[in-house]
Amino acid sequence: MTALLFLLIPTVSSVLLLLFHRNRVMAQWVNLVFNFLWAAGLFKLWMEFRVQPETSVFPIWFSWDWAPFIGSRFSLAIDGLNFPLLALNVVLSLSLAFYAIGHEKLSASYLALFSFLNAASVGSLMAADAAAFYLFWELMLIPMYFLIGKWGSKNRIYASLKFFGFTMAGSLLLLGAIVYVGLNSPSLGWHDLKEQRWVFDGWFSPQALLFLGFLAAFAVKIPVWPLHTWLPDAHTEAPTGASVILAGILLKLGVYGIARWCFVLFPEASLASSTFMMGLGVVGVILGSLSAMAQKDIKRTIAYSSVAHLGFMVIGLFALREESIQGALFQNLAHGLSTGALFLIFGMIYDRTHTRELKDYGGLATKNGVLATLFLFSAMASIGLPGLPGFVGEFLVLSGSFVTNPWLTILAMSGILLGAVYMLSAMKKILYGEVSPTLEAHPVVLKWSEWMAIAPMVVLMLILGLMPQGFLKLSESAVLGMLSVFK
Amino acid sequence: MESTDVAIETTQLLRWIILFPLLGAILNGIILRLKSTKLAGIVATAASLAAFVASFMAVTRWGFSLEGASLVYDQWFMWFQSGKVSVPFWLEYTPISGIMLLVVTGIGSLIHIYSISYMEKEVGGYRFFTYLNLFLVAMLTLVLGSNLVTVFLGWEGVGLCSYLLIGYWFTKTENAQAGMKAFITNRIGDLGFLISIFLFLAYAGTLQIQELNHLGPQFFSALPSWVLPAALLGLFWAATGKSAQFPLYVWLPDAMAGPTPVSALIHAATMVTSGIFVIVRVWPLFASQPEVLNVVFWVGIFTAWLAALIALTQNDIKKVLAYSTVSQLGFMFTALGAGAPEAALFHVLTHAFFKALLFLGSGSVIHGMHHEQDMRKMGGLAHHMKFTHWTFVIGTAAIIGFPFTSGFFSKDLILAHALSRGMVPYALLLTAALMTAFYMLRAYSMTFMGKPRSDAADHAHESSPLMLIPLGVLSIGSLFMGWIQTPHFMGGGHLMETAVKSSWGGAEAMKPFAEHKISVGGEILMILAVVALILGVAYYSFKVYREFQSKKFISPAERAVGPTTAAPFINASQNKFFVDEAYDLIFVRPLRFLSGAFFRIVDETGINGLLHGMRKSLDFSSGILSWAHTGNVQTYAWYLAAGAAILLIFVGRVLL
Repeated sequence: MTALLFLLIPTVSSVLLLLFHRNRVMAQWVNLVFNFLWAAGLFKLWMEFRVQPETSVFPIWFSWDWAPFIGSRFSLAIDGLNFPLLALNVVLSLSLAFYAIGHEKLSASYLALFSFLNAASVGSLMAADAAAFYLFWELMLIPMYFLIGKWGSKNRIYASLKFFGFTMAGSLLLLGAIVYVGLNSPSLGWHDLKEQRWVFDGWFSPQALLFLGFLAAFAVKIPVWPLHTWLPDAHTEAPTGASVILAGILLKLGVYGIARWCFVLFPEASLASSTFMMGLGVVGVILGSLSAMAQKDIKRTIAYSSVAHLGFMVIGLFALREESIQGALFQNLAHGLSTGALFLIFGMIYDRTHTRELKDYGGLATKNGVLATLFLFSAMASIGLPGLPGFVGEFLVLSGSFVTNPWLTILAMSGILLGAVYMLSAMKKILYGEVSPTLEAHPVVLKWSEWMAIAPMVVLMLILGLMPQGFLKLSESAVLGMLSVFK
Repeated sequence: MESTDVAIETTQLLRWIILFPLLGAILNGIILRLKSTKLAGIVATAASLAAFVASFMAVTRWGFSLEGASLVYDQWFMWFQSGKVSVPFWLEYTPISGIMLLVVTGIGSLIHIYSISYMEKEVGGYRFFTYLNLFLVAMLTLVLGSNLVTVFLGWEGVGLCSYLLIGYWFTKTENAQAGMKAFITNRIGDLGFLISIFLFLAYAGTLQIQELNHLGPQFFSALPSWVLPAALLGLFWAATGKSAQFPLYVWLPDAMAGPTPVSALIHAATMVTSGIFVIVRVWPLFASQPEVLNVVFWVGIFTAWLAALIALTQNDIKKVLAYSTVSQLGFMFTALGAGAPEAALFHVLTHAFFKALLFLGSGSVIHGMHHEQDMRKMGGLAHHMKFTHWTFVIGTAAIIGFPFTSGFFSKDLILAHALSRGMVPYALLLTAALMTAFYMLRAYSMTFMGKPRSDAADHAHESSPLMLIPLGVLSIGSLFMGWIQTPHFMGGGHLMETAVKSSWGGAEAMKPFAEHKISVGGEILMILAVVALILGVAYYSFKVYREFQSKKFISPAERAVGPTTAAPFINASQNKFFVDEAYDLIFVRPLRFLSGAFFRIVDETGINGLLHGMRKSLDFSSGILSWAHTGNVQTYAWYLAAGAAILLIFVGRVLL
């Protein structure tokens, strides 16, 4: 029941928030309260998750026979693979709830859409049934489309359509695969599907095509090169909160989906595509980093850095080793926090200056030293400085993939260097030098609620960087269980 | 630990060496954020002194020679572990770490004290002292880390602090640029470190340094023959970054943009020697690879030589010292390459004292001259700054190897090792040593001798006692530190040898030391000859530059070959042989071009172009269906749901 409760809190809050559409301030506070409630729900979830036996495979917490005619049950399950992401979702959402306090543009409908998005994303994280998963997966699209299309900046229509088009194309292939799978298996439940062995002999055999169908949706979401061009537009045009959740949660669902669905359901096809997918990951790392260097728009730089980082995760996943997959999953959290923090901090600056152009900035460190320090801290976390979480993720990914494929790994390592180049160049321009006229005219002085939004992310980054072991232990048995399908 | 003959002693003392400066950084940077820079400095200094006391306790407990084959660990916590990768956060005491601990916290504390006065006029100087403490945290992690990843944590951590401190006065874009250059150049090196780690992990299955030492060359000889050389070259490549060797040395001279105490602590005494330190930590592996050592040897000699050549013509006093540091680090790598880790580490130790002294001395001068660093505008400062002057004399004597100062012992040990490798390397290294004498006396004379050449020089004032006390202590070290390791025929100490030998947890190095093959008579003769040459050159330089007057001055090069013939060389040396410009042309610009080109060709024209093309053709062909194109997402969502439902039902009916 706790799992259902955890899903219902944001759902209910999304409806209730609409009642406050005349009172923005009230809505913002109610939203904050609901987020605290959600955090309490997470705590209860954790207390139960803690005592769950490690041996159980994706244990179902809630199940409801909602559609027997297609062999689907609405079942929610939690294990070490999705729990950390649920927690990350709550943390980011709580941060954003603080950020929203007193913000003129963030109305009740915005917050309601946000809650709805939260419900959909934790729903697809917990779903242990292909149909339920697909439902939540599609439901994420709708609020995101509106968040970008209504609250975004100048090119928001183009960006939201592009986002919608790409994701829809991937989803349709996923839908096709799910329909086929459902008809050839006793049910659409994850556990039943796991027992099926689809024939794999070449790339036109059922397993291969099903694998590609699932992969299509996840690869668009991650996004895997060359399906990534929607991301810079969506990220750039999206309002701050949507950027944070997009980078922090939605992209992660692609990584999670591959681990949860592709690997377990289609092991032979996954194994066969390993080198190719690692190769795409490497291309993503290198071209993503190079493109990040070429950007003049700060949000675009951060967006392309996401393409590069997610490339590392693809490499880690498809290296198919315990440490590399653990690394990719840990990188999920690390990137969610560091990139989330970068978007959030820049969002606060943008709220004052209304420009994303790199050339308009300079000397932030003179004007607001603390914010500049936190900005630099997040950038350092993003480029994988040891002691911060990005390092642990990248290190585990690369040390695992080095065994699988040393040459691709060495190529990917260029991303570590290029990351420092584009991130530090951007930091140099924004933080240092003389104070730019823009910053002179629009002082960046943060409210208490904004500091409250940044604080949990920074604290978590420190904890994850210095004491990652507990988090790795969380997902260890789930990852080992998943890898056992390859034996 | 695999072998059972190794006794392991556990302790909880070592973590405090790191925790004290960490506490200092947290106090200064987060909690107190004092308005008074002086108070912030006192807090930071107290933290640093506490780390010194803890280090001192460690050294008195375990000394410079671990009995038999025992290891001392502080088994703090498990950092991360997954699959084959196991990275415990353990700290380890070895005799060589003991030496480094004393250097880092001892000289570190002196520099903290010095900074209290040097930075007193700074607004918001707590930031400076936070970084300085943070640097100690990272450096001590590097020194104490028991496996390659914890060392790497310290390794990149010092890089971060170096970045922050070089760009400390960040309102000037050049300073921020110099910090960034340091960070990125070091990252190029760090890729080698990572590859080395991944190789050790993949082939040896462990990253604990002593376990690697214990596996030893025998283990690696069973593996593909390229593995160990590649892993060691990776480490050395990283060392060329951190320890500023060719081709990655270019960041260090620019790093002089940071406050002078930073140059003394990070860019002379401690951080830049960590490349040598890490190589000595895994010496049993290096000792088994003569080809790798050969690379180290020649890179060291070449760097020692090139940097000395550039130092000859620099006019900025800090630039002279920076190139001198690069050159002296080259000496240390030469010693490593010649198979003499004890000589390398000995020079690390003596260099830490005299180079910190020289930098702090130059800082005192710069302070007294109101931030003037150009030596052409100095002159005659010996009268105004008597104490600084004499300590600078001592530092100069030590660095050029004046008999019985610390530099004399360490440099002659390295020269003897170079000589046993042949005449050519010896001649090259000797030339570098002679050039050292030349540029140091040039710097000394231009700064302190002759007549004042500017108002600032005329009115220069001596620095405060707080700055002079560290100078005094470092002078004593520069004078006498050499006696801990003297040539064998003199009897005397051989502390470095003992320390280095017992730092591998009893692992057998195949050839622990290359004994230099010079006879006692030969050695004495060599030393006398070197001393005579050095003093000759030093005197010549002193005599020439004592009369330095910017307008009518003729440099020795011009005197020797005439102004027109000398001009190209002087020009090239002054412009650092255009290495920066070459790198810019070969690496930076192409990279910038590539990034723009890839973005425009692949993403914008390629992928997006294709998409827009597809959409246009779709629009054209679906004109009939355009009524469905409401542009309203809700409608699309309904299509989606309806489509999905129809699909499901239809397929289900047909197939089931």
